[in-house]
Amino acid sequence: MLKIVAKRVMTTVPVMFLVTLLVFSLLYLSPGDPAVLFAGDQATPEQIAQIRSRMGLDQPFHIQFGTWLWNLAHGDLGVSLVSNVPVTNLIAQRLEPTLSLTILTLLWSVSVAVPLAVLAAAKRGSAVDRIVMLLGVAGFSVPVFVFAYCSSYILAIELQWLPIQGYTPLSKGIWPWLRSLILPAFALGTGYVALISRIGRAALVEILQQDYIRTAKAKGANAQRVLFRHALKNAAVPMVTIVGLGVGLLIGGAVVTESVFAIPGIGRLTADAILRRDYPVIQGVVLLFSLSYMVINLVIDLIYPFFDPRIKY
Amino acid sequence: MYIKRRDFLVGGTAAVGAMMVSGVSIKANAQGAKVLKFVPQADLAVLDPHGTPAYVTRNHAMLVYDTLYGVDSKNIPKPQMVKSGEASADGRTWTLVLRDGLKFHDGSPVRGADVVASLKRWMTKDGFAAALAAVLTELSAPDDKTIVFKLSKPFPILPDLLGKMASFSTGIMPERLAKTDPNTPVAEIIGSGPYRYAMDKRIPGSLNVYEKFADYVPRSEPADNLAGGKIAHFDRIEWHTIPDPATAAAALQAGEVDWWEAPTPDLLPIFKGKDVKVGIKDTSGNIGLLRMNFLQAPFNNRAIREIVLKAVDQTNYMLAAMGEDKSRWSVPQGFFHPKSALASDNGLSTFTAKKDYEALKKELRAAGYNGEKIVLMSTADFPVIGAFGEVAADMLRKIGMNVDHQVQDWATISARMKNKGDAASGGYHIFANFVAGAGTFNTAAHTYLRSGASAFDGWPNIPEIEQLRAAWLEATSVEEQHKIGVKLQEICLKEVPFIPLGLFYFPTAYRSNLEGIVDTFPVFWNVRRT
Repeated sequence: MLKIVAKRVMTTVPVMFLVTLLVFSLLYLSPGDPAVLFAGDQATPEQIAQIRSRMGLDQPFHIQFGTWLWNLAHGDLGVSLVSNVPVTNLIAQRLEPTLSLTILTLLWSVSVAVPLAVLAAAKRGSAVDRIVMLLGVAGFSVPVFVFAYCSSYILAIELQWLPIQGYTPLSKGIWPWLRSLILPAFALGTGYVALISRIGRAALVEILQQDYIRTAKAKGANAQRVLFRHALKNAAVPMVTIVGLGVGLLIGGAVVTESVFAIPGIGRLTADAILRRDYPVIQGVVLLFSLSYMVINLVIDLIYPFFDPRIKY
Repeated sequence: MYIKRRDFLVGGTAAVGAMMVSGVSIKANAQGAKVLKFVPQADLAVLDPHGTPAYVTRNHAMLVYDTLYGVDSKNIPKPQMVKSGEASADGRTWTLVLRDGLKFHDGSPVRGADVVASLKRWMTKDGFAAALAAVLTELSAPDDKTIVFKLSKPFPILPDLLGKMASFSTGIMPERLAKTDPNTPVAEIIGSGPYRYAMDKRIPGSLNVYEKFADYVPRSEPADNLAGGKIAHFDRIEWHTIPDPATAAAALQAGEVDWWEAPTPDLLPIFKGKDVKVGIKDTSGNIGLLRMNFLQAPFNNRAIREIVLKAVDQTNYMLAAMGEDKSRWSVPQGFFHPKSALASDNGLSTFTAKKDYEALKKELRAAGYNGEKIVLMSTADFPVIGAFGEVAADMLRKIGMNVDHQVQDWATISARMKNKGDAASGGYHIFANFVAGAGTFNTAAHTYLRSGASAFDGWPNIPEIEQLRAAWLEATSVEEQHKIGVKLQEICLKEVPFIPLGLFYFPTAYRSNLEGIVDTFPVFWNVRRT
């Protein structure tokens, strides 16, 4: 196990290097100049040149990238070109809201989606199954922001049960923290529920038709035991895979959700940085996202053997 | 462990009840007596008052940094930090004396040396101040209360310059900070204004907090634009950046925030019947414009520029950008703000006259236009500019131009605007934009009027305009200024440094329990909750 972890960690280094090189190249080639945005309308070409020089943007590509890598190796992600705040501070400041939103969304959506998948598979072809699948299609088809606006209108504006926007840190209490996240987590999680429940149902339906299920039934196991003990455990592998991959969807969705609900998280930091061509911040968050994906994939791979002992590393 | 259905229902009802009770507190929190929650027009990314001309930074600077003078609602500069300011008989020396009791937020007194260092830093950035720098021979502080300007030529508009509304704010800060290189952000945000900036509470991109500065001594006169007493009624002002307009509108409706600076026009109807007031506070407004590139054919041809100007019907642009409510825009609009001494109606009827596009098409061909591609740039990031771009594209096509309308994000457009090359190398022929009306009150601050060596993007080179801009600086009476303005407008209508598209105002929206909001851009003194 340790060997596989070490091996996988080692492979992340070249992948991360390629990702950063790709992103750096794209930013370098993309139109737009942060110095121009920073200097404003009335700046002279000389002033813009001075600002470009201060930001290090007048250096050739390899120098800029090399400097960035060198600083990265020393734990320094650079300083935001716009706010002049270290990128590590910006990311640290924004990590709690995004992690809170992602974890809460994962918790509620998995705890709703898995029972729905089991229910739909157990009652395959029934009205319950069709309703679950209909909800699944709706969850996929309706964009996150539509759920966000509709739930905001009903629960926040009309009923005034929940805040419309903003984030309350966990340090101010669990209930205020939770209240600030209920609407965004609901909006963000709907598509995720649809995804897991559909994949889970499909996996379960396939497994329930296997010979060993028939054998279990023939041996007198009751329906619950067959479903939960024999079928669900085997369906867990594709479901765990989709839960892991779905974290990527959550991070992507967080950009929209955090903007709609004015949550100061990593998603909004990314969107703002792109609009302002704040290169160090973009590089920093892309690095963080890549790292997160790799860690998630590693964790999923390590979880597989618990559900399916046939998988060995 | 199993949850019984009845327990679930009891628990669920209790949870909903708790949410409803807490829901009441959402509103109450936002309307706490001493905290004002404000949604600015854009995120406050740059805190240094000399860092950027962005208006959100100017508004922040006005809270934190006091000004030497401040213009009133008639655009007349009135003393603010200064007790007195006098020009010598020959107009070549100005002596300003600071009033008593001025303190910075770090507790140190405001000294003449601080003012001198701050103004020197500011002059490197501000376009209007460059006119002062050009005639300034010495700026000194003979003592802690006095600032002396020695000039090679009279500069009668010094108080206008020091008290102007347009960016950059003078940003008077301690000398130790003012000595920072102008292109490097200052390390601390320390001013002497009515509110101090709470750096420790900042969340970049999301929250900025200002706390009442207990040692601020306001003037005794009533608040009037940037002049008069700046009395802080709130203990704390929070700027919440809410990027999504629908969310900002909902937050204002629900009372989670008190004031939304720039609501989008399409969302205004939802405030009807709610405890929200909508009004125009900044009557200096904004002037929409089209700018042609003087370095590229066909707009290096004066006759062609004039034909494009004649094709402009300002009403179309205003309808597209601001809608049918005429209280939010006015036409015809000339090259200067209507309240400026420079403004006149001469020649403006062309902007509202009925257009004969076929005749203009013929004129265009006769002037030498041969159907070459015209790259028109606009952006969807600012809906107003997007609307100007759409109308401009339609108008140019109607007069027979082969238009390539390119809509890109603002960051890309801003960089391309600096490109002097041809369209093939990323350049352009014409772009749509708008400027704050406050920047068009005089010739020195007017970015799009600049010509020749100091010209802004589009790079017009019209020597007569530069001569008249210089003459305005030395004008000693309003009549003299007006004459210069009339002449300038006459030249602009022929040479077309830019084409004005109308004057429009962004409304602001706030909870109806707020009163005393000063009629200008968002300043936070004088505002109180009833």
